[in-house]
Amino acid sequence: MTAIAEGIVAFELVPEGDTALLPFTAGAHIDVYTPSGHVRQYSLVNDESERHRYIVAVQWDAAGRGGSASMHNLGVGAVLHVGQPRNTFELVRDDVPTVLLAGGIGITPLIAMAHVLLRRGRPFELHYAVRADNRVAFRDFLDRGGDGMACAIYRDDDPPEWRFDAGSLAARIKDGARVYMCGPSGFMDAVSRACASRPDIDLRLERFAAPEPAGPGPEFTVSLARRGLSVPVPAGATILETLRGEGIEPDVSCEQGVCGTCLTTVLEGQIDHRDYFLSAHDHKAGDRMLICVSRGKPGTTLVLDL
Amino acid sequence: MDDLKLITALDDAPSPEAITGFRTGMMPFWHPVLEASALECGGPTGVRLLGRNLVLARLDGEIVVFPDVCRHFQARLSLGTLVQVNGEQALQCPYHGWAFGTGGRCVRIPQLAPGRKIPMTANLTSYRAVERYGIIWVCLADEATFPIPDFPEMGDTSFRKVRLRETKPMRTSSTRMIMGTLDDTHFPWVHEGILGDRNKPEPPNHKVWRQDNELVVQYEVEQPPGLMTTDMSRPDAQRAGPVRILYTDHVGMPNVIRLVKDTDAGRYVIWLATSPVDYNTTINFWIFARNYDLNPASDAAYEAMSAHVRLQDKPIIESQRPWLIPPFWTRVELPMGPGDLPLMEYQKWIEELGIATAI
Ligand code: FES
Ligand code: FES
Ligand SMILES: [Fe+2]
Repeated sequence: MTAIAEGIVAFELVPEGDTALLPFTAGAHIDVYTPSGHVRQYSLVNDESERHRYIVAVQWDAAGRGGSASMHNLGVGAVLHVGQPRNTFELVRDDVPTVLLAGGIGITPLIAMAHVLLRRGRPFELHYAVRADNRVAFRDFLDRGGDGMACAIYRDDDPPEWRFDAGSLAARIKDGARVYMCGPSGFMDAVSRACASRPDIDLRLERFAAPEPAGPGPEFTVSLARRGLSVPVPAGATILETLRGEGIEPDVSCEQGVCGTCLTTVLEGQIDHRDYFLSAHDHKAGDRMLICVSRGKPGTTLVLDL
Repeated sequence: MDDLKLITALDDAPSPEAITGFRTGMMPFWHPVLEASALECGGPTGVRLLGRNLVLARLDGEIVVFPDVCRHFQARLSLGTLVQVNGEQALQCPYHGWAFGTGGRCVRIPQLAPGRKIPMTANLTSYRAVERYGIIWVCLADEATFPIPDFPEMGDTSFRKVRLRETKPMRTSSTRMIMGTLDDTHFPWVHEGILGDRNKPEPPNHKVWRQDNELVVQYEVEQPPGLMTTDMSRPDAQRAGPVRILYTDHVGMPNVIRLVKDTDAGRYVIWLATSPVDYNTTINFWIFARNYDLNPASDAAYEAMSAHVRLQDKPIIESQRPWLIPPFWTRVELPMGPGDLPLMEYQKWIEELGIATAI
């Protein structure tokens, strides 16, 4: 194991005894049974032509539930149980212009792809966005490069004109290119949005962490008509939570916008519906809402019949 | 209230809309229909899938699936035999001997007048079939929405596998069957002593997300020591206390589920593929995999334990009405957060896939 950037450690996994490793292709990942008992998916970084080892890179996630931390505490020689490689992010073999696009630790499957493209002599671009210079992993490999690899690294602390900008990148991508992307959800969402205006681009992505649920949105205000109470609903909270904070316990069950228990009449204000219960017709009518998940449009004041 | 009338009018039989919604919604997926060993001698064998009768056979090694009715006068092809026509295997109807080859092509009509050709219209519809995990899977649509879900432990030789074939189909829908297997808040109630403890009914903290074609649920929980949590071949096993488990449930939408239980002993996997015979009948294919206590002599104990747990669930899941999971707007069911989160997320997805449409 080697620290390859701030908070990122690479692990070389070799089989125990003389068991053979299953072959893999660039873009594949394996399940790793971490010492903390969690199962985590890590992309294989090494060249797919290698048969004697798997290399993975793990970023320490302070907000995680201990899986990455327990990996970082491992010592050389530790035994790990891993699953067989699976690939949901295959590199297509043809002559289309190829762009590899990474955000942070999302670089891992793309390094494996870069190995293959270099070996095949296929020119490609690699764009890599990181928070700071000390977060650049696989720097040696990227510096060494090779004929045909055009590599751009963007750091959040660079001057503005050098920073990663999904819009300008999307505009510069070659016609009909295939883009392989991996990184944090926010990064991938921004790129996907920017590429929406480029139907000629074939965008392929691998998601690692669970995409964040469409969480609470911007702040608005609720006002309870029968109680004469008005409270702001902050960006991080639901109406339900806010009312609970005021000592009001509305009738609820699922808290997921599916059961209809918390259905509330809305006397005024613009609703941002997020439930699975009301029909599209009900949503348009705008006179009832499910206060466990739905919100007010930013800046609006929702007057509830409560 | 209209809603209320709807609910009180509800009896055992789903509405025609609900049944159609289920059958058509389930169509574009791969469904397990038969143990591959059943076709070892070529067949033919009849199965029922989504309310249709199908005939399966292996013609020169290739699995074929046709509607189980002859194009001629509607006799059952599954009563027929395999024959050779022009050096190739074909399925011959028992009634007048019409024979059908791969792709459903009619290759022989014994009554054909000399000089006449077999009409194109004599061909049968042919569905797609593949063999995976020792089971034959059929897709009734031109294109499957999702591939057959992964089952990595199946191809991993460090795991011992036990198959369980229920002798009778379950009287439930395959969506209810999947939900019943995904549901963990019933463990302390239905499987007390094996999977839970009634004195600790609190639901675990679920993490739930969608990943590719799967719904993934992850949580940690404590369960009593037993075959699914402890290496019982170890001498000190009998003295073991409650075991900490990490569950990772993968629901291959909408009909396959793989429950992965990771403990200090190793990994125990419960895999279930459901075959939607129809809206109220389901055939279950179970495979259990473990990477500890690998002695083949132990298999029987694991099989017996699994069968026991299945039997605890059976009457309860079969008792659920309506047969088909009702859409949320009907208010027929009252899911409760946060414990029911995994079930609600499954249900959201099958609504989006157009499988749960009415009651
Ligand atoms: S509590 Fe169920 S919809 Fe709000
Ligand atoms: S009904 Fe099949 S050959 Fe006549
Ligand atoms: Fe159960």
